[in-house]
Amino acid sequence: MTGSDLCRNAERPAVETCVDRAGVPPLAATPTRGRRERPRSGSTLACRRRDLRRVHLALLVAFIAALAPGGCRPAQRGGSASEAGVGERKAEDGGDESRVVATAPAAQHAWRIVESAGGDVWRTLARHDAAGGRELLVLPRRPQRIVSQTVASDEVLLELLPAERIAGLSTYSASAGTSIDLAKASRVGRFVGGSAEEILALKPDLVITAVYSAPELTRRLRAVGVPVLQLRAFDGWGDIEDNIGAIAAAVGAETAAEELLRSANGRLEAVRSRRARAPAVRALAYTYGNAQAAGSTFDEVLRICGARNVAAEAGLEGWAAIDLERLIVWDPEIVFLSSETGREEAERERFLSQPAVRRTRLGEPGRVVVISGALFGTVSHRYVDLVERVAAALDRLSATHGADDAERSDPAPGKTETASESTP
Amino acid sequence: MSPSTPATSPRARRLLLVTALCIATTVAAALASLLLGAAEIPPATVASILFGGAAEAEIETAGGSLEPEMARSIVLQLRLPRCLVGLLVGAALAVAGVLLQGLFRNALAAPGVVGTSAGGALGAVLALSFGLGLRSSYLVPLGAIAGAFASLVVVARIARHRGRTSITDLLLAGVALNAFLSALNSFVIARAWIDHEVARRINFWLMGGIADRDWSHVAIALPGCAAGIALAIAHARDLDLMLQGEDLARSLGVDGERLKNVLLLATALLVGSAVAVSGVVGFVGLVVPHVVRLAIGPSHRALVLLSAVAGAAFVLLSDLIARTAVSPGELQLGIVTAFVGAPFFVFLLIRERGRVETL
Repeated sequence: MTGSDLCRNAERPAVETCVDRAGVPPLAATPTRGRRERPRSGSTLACRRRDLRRVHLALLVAFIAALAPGGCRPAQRGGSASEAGVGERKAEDGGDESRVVATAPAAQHAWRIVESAGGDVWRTLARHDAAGGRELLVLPRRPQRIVSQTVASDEVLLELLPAERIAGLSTYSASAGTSIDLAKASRVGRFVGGSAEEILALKPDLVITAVYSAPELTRRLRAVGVPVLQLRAFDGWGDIEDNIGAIAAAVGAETAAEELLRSANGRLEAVRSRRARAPAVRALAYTYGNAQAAGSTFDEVLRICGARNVAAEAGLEGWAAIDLERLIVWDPEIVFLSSETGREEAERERFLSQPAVRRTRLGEPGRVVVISGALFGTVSHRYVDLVERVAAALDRLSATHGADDAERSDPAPGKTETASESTP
Repeated sequence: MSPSTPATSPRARRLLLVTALCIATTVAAALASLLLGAAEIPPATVASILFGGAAEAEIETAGGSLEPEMARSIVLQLRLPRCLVGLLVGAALAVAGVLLQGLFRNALAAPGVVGTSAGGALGAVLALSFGLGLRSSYLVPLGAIAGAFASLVVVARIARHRGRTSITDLLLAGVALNAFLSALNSFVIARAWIDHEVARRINFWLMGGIADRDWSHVAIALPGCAAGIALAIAHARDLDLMLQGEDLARSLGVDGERLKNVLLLATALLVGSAVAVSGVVGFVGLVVPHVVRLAIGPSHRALVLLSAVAGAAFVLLSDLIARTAVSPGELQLGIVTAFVGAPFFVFLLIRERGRVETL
């Protein structure tokens, strides 16, 4: 079996354009004082003028496009931009669904096992993409030297497998700033960055990457015959379940994954049912001037916890920049901030250092909750820990301020509210 | 007064007209900045708060009522500092652009050209990556100012040879240092990704903006901006003479070396102060002096003053767009200045091709 037979995945980089920083003015040309413009023919000048007008027009169009609703939104689950960008190679086995012997949970785009233990192949996984193509992952044997390149897959592997089967984790798992499982990760002890050479040196028989990993890394690994499982969506618990299922199917740890998911879903259901009995708290996740609005991972966390996301109710989507005046007018009962691990209290103090914010009810104890960035942004099974952490904060809030909040008016979603009612 | 006196000459009338236009635009932008906001406080109440009065009863807004103290906090602690920071940043970047364009005798020179912007950004990024932003709100801005000065000292030292500073060497050293500092910035940011929170903090800071600035930011920016603009005004005549050539300026009593040092110092003060409180906001220092020069000519005294006013207006208007274009969300100021500034600059290049290449 050749390298290309081993892994018939093909891809092209996902195209996700989102203007996110200021353009920097061009640097100065060389001094031109006294220099005379060289004579140009009329047609050349006219041509250049036309070109410049086109540039001008293109910039204006780009500006308008960026301002248009949805012009700069994160990819949505199922049919996202990332999926649309997947280059597809049609399956050569005809894609007979009757041969499916096990499936990863739920979504149509999830990886599924389509063939098990036949000939010189241990297992073949496939996923459908939005364009109707299929992507295959052929594993000649049960992987014993797995290299993970995302912090989410690091955490899942550490939960499902003994350290001996993990040849390397992403460098993020070596840092308290991004990893929740530092102690477990240290048992593996090998952390690799995004270099194909570093990864190949570990002689992996499976590499797990994400859609946001460097496309050339995935291409190079596949080109030399290393099977690569690329995780494609991270937009909520459904995607996380799919990813855990895919990893489990690829490493042969379905039983452990089922147990993990059963436990996680049980915990989520417990939170959901407990919080369903509590009044809906008006909450906001606010990170460095940005609200996490509809479609964000934290929006789903708040919904599971029975809270109302004031940013989503105001019609915002994804990560949306808002100023403190807007936050004050929205008057959330509780705000969740993220911070570097170990600096949560400093972040809370920084947020409350603004007198106008202190004057709102957020100045009361228990209304500003700071969560470490590693947990705040997790897209592994540790998501359940995040949900429980948020639910616990909401429980405490209901216990301490529930009566006060009930007395205060509860304005219609998205409407400008009375800040006076929020002032303690 | 006869038609031939300077006060009524076409040039003077044009200067008066442009001055009036710039001041009116800046005042209008500042008023809009103070009056517009999520809380919908009535203009009369905003005026009353600004002039020391305070409403005693609750203030009725379109969305409900607002406690007087809260309205006061919003106007005095959020809107006013934001407006003042916008004025200072705009004025500082525009005047820095005037100084660099005059110094390099090139209308395409911008505050980034001698590495001060990149140095300021690196100082702030280092401060953020070491977590200093959480220890004190002053440390990141101070890091930016220190970075701007350090980059200036390096450029000046490189360009200085046998007691003289060559403008060409200064320009080339600035370009080289810019590239080096940008690489350093990328290195620090790449290292910072090991902690997503730090990297996010840095990235949002680098996008540039004046949202949620408070009085500490005004206090940080004001001294450097005032000193930089004062230095620019004080040396405007010398800069005019330098435009005629260094030899001629020397024969008329201008100490060219001292002037270059003073102008670089002023640039570092201005850019460092602006970057310290707003991050990297592009195009202000490039577009504003250029537009003002097209309107009133190259005389530096008027150019410095009017560029300061026009720069303030440009940043405040851009900030108004940033605040309102995708309301209730916001855009980053740096994005708006680039989107507005770049097409406008291209338009000017097309229209005034001959004039922009020679001051």
